[in-house]
Amino acid sequence: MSFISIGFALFVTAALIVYYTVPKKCQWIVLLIASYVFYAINGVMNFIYIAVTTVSAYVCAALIEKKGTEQKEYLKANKDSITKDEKKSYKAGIKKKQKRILALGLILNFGILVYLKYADWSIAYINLFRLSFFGRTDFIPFKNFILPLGISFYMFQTMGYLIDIYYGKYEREHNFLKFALFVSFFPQIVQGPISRFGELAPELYKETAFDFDRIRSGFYRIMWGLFKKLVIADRLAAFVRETIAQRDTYRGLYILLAVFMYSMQIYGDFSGGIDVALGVAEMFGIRLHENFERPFFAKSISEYWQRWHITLGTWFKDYIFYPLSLNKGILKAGKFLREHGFEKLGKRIPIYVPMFMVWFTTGMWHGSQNRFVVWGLFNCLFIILGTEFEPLSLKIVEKFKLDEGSFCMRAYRVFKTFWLMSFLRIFDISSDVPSAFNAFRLIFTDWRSFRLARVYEELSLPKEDFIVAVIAILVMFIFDLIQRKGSVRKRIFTLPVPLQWCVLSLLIIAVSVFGYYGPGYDAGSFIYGAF
Amino acid sequence: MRDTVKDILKIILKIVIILVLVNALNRIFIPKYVNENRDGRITQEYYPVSRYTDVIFVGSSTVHSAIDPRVLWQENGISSYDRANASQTMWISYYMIEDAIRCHKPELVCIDTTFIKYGDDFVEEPSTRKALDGMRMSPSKIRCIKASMGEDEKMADYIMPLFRFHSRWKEFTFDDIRYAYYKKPVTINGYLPDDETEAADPGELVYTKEGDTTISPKNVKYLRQAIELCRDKGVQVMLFKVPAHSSNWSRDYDRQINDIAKEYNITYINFDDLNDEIGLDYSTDTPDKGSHLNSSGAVKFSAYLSGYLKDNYSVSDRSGDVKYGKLYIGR
Repeated sequence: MSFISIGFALFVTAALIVYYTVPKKCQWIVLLIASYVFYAINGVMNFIYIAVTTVSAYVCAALIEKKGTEQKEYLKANKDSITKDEKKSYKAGIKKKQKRILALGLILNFGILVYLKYADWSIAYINLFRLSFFGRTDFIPFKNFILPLGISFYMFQTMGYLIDIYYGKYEREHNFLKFALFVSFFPQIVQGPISRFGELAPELYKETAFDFDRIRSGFYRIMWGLFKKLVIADRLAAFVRETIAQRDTYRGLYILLAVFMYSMQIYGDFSGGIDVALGVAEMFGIRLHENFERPFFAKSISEYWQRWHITLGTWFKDYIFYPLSLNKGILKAGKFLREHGFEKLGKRIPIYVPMFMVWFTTGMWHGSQNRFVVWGLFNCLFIILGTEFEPLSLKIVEKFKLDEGSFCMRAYRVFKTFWLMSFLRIFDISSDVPSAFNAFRLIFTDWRSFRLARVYEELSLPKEDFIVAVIAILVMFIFDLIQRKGSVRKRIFTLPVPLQWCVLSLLIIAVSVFGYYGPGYDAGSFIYGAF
Repeated sequence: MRDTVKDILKIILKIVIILVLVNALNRIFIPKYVNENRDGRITQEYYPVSRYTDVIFVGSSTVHSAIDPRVLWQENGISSYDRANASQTMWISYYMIEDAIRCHKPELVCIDTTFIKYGDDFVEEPSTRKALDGMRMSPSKIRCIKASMGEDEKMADYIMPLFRFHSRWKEFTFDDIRYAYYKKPVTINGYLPDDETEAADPGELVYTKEGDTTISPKNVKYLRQAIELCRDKGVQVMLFKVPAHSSNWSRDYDRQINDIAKEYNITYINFDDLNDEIGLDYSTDTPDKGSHLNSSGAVKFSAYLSGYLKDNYSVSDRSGDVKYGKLYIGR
C-alpha cells in the first residue's frame, strides 16, 4: 500500500478513529495491530523477515541483559571474597559473552540484509571471475530477490537498539509486543526516519489524548509532503531519466538542467515521503526525528550531511564512526605513525579510516551497484579535501580580506556545496560508473545547442509542466527559507481563520490538480523506499 | 470532554469544507459533455425527471439516436427516458436499471440487445466514463464500476473523477467553470437527435457476422439479472433490437435471446424484421450508412414503438398531466 493512495488515507483514518476511541492504555496495541496489518497488506512474505529481526533482537537483548544481571548478582554475592583482579577478569569474561551475543544478532540480521541486497551483485562477480579465469559459461543464476518493505530502515533501527543495549545505554524493553511495535511502527517503516529507542519508545507507549490542533498540523504536513512528491518530484522524473539516457544527444546544458532537476526530484521525493511519515505519526501524537533541515542551504559538504538524511548519518556516526575511532588497532596505528615522524598522518588516521568506512557502507547501503560505492567514496574524498584545504581557504579569505559572514560569501558556499552534491548525484542516475563519468564530461560540451523548446517537446517535460515545476520549486525554497525562523505551520495557525483556509485550499488544489498522478502518469514509488 | 466534542466538531466541519472544495474541483475538471460528446449528459439528466418516467430504454448509442421520447409522448402520452450511452454494455445497462429503480420504479423497462454481440472483455474507458461519471453515488454505481473498469483502471478514479481528469488544467477553458454547475438539459430525455443523412448501401439487409456467435457469459448473466430484477420489483420487461441497416449481427443472437425471453415469458423483438411496417428508408433515415437512425428515422421508429408499447404493455397515458407535458412540449 503506497503512501500515495486512497487506501492508505482510509487505513490511517480508520486507525486514528480506533486509536482515539479505545482506552488510552491500549493505544499502543492499536498501533501494533495497524503496523502489522499495513505490513501484511504489502506482502505476507515480508512478515517472515520482520519477525526474524524482531525475535532475534528481542532474544539477544534479553541474553545480554541476563549476562549483566548474572554479573551484578555474582559480584554482589562475592563482594568480599574476590580480589580486584578476579573481579576485572570476571567482568571481562561477561563482556566477552555479551559481545558474542551481540555479534550473533548483528551477523544474523545484517547477514539477511546483505544476502538479500547483494546476492545478485556477488553472483555477477563470481560469474565474471569464473569466466575470466576458467572460461566457464555455466553461469550461476541470479536470485532476483524482492527486498522486503523498508528492511534497511527497520534493520538499522533495531540493530542500533541492540548495540545500545550492549553498551548499557537503555534498559531493554521487556514486553515483546511493545518491542515489536518499536520495530514495525508503520509510518516510518517505508523510508524512515531511523529512530532511536530512547526517543521513539516513550512516544509509542505513552497515552495520548485527542487533540484537534495536532491532527490539523499533521494533515498540513502530509499535504506539504504530497506537494513535494507529486507536484515536483514525480513531474521531473521522466525528464531526468530521459535526458541522462540520451546524454549523447542532449549534452551540455541539457545534462546540467537534468542534474539540477534531479536534486529537486530526490529532495522532493525523499523529504516529501518523510513529511508524510512525520505527519501521520504526528496525528497519532508521536513525534519522530526530523530527517531534513534545509540541506540545500548547507555551506559545506559536512554540513550538508548533517542536514540530509539526518537519522542515517547519525546512525553511521554513532555505530560505525565512533566505535572505529576508538578501536584499539586504529589508535595504535595512529600512535605508531606519530612516533615515526608522520605526525599529521598519525593524527588523521583515527578520523579518516572510520570516515572511509562510514562512506563505504553508506554507499553500499544505497545500493548493490559499484556506482553507489564510488558515490560514497567521492563524498568521503570531498570531505577530506575540504578539511585538508581549510587552512589554505582561510589564508585566502584573510589575504583578500573577505568577510565570511557576508551574504556573498555565504551564497558562494551554498552554491558551491549545492552543485558539488548535485554533480555527485550523477552516479545515482547513471547506469554505471563509466556512464556517470561520461555524463559528467558531456556537461561541459555543446552548450550552444541548448533549446528550451526541445526540453518541452522531446524530453517529457511540456512547457506547462516545466512552468509548474519551476514555480513549485520556488515555493519549496521560499518555505525552506521561512522555516529558518521557525515552523511554517505554526505561523499559518496564527493567521486569521479565513486566511488559514485559503492556505489549506491552495495546498489541496495544488496537490490534487497539479500533482503528477493518476492514469497516464508514471508516478514512481518513493525512491528511498527501495533501499 | 467538552473540548474533545469541540475538537471532533471542528474536524467534521473541516472534512465537510474539504469535501465541498473537492466536489467543486470534481465538477470543474470533469469533461462537460455540453458542446460535444453530449451523450455524456444522459445519465445525470435522468435524475431530475426520474419520478416522471414510466418507461426506460437501456442500450447503446443505437437507442439514444433512435427513440425520441417526445414522439412517444405525442402519440400515446407515454413518458420515457433513454438511459443509453455510446457503447453501453449489458452490465452497465443492468446497473442503469438498478439505479433507475432505486430512484423511481418505472412501469416498463425495454432492453436493447444490440451491444450483446461484444465479448466479456469489452472495455472502452471513454464510454464507461460517459455512462458513469454522471451517475449518482450509490451501491449500484460502485458495483457498476467494478463490473465495467479495465484492468489498469482504479475504482478511486471513478469515484473521484478529479483523480482522472486533473491533468485537464492544461486545456482548461472558461466553459469548464461556466458548465461546472450547468443544470439545463442538453438531451431530450436522453435522446440526441442527429440531423445528418448518409444513405446506407442499397439492397436487402443480410446479417453476415462471422466467427463465434455465442453470447458471452457476462452478457447472458447481466441480461438474466436485469430480467429477474425487474420481475422481482414488479416492473414489466421487453427485450428488443433497435432497427439498423448493419450486417454486424447474426440470427444466432436472435435465437439465443429468444430462448432467454421464452424462459422468463417475456417478448423479444428484432425490429429489423419490421422495417417495412415501421416505414424506415435507409436512404434517408440514417446518418451513418445504417448503423444508427437519424432524426427522421427516429420519428418513424418512435411512433411505431409508441403504438406497440401501448398495445402490448400496461403503460400509463399521461397526456393530460401538465407536470409530464412540460418535459416534452416545446422541446
